Amino acid sequence: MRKTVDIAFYLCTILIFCCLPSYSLEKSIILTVKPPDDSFFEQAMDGSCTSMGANRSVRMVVGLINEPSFEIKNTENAVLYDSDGRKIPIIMDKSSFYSEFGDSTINSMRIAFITDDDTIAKGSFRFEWGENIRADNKIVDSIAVYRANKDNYRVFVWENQPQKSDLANYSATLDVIVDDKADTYYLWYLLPMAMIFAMLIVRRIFLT
Amino acid sequence: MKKVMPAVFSVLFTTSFVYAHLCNDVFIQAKDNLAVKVDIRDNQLRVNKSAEFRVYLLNTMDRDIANIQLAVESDDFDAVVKPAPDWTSFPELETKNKGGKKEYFIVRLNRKPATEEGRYKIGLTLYNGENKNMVFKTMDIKDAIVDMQIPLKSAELNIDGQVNKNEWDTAFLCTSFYEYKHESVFGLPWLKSQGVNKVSQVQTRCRFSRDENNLYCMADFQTEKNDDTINIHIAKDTDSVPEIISINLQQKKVSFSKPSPGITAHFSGTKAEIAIPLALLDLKGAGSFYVNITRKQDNTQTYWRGNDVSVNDPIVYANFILK
Repeated sequence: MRKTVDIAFYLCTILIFCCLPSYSLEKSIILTVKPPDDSFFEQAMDGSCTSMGANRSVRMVVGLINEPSFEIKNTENAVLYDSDGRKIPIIMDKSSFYSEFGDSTINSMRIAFITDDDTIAKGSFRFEWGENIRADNKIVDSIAVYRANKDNYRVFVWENQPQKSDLANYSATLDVIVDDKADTYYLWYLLPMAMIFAMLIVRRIFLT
Repeated sequence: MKKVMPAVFSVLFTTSFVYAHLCNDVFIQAKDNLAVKVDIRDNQLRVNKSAEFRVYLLNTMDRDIANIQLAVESDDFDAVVKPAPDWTSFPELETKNKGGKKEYFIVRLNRKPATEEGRYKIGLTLYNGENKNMVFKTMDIKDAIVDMQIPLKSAELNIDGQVNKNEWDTAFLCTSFYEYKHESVFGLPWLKSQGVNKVSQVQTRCRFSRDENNLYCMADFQTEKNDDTINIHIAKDTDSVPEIISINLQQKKVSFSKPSPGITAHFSGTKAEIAIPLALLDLKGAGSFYVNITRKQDNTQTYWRGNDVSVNDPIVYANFILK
């Protein structure tokens, strides 16, 4: 019996250690949806978007993912969730793929996704990436924006996930070190100067 | 009477809506227009019985903030918060657009008798003095305070214009540039427009590393247009006038506001590798300094930190730590 418990213990420990790296590799940001301004339509095309059709509540949300730590090696390695935790397919703009060091890593890209007003009203979206993520995303040569569908477009801005702590995002914390010798701490800077002066005095008195 | 009452209610309702709207507007603008910097020597606050530090503020909104206050939350210290002696308009924080300047709170922490030696955390919150529940939630004060450690250069770094991953992937990265645009509030054209940060399609990546003598920079313009310049603004402290190092992609040239012997720069494609002697910036042996990056590609002006009003004020810059 004891041997079985020991084996189970070792297996659990191994499992935990195996899971730790994969968990830490995944990162995420929050996408908040907003109406676009006029500059968004500067490069817009004539005609209309077939995938949105005539449905007035369908929204195509477009934006740039360029969070400093963002990097994926494969377009499958990113996933998008709505506020209810449902997966939403991502449309990735191949022409916008940017690799900082010219390798197969993507460090920045323009994406879009199709959603509706009700889903947007419920809250922000969560964009997650990591080596262990697998999602069925669509790659297009370029995300086209059509003038005829002006009301269907939205843009997103990303922000980092708020930290889970007592102090919310709008507060900041500072580290303070309580040290009984803090008032004399900066006097150490005077030590080399004091030594030089001492040596000069010794030289003046005893060596001249 | 039947006609008067609806009119009275209409006026009351409209007034309360406008008041609420204007208040919220200040908080929305704060995200992009209220700069905060905590000034602590050596970026480490050591306390024996008491210690003092400053929290600087700079308002670049289209209007003044009527009443701003700072709260310090701690179970281990008694905190006394006072406005700077020359902050004559306190509690009003005047906007730089109308002649306002950076102001600061002085925070004195007094150690409580039961507080033993060790590390502690204190919380800082900015709020509306007329209603403490109205906190500047939209402003990422943590981001404003965060100090950025600049790592030692990679042993493989060679300033030759050929950028490779081994040389730069551990260097500190600055990206996500914004355009500062004026737009009407909530799309209502009759309300005055306000300045907001918009994610720019013109993106830039700059990486920094250092050694004892040099600051090393890899600047990636990502795209190329007719006229394209990245400016690196560097200030010794929050009161200094920043020096500007300009990197022009078309001319493949790096220039500095003073004669600049010793700056080495090599370009390749949209990327440049640069070595800047710290002595040239009067930063040899410095523990930290303040940095901002801006870029002008044709008519598009982008910012890493701050905006066109605050770009020359190191209060909005990031604090690069070298030790």
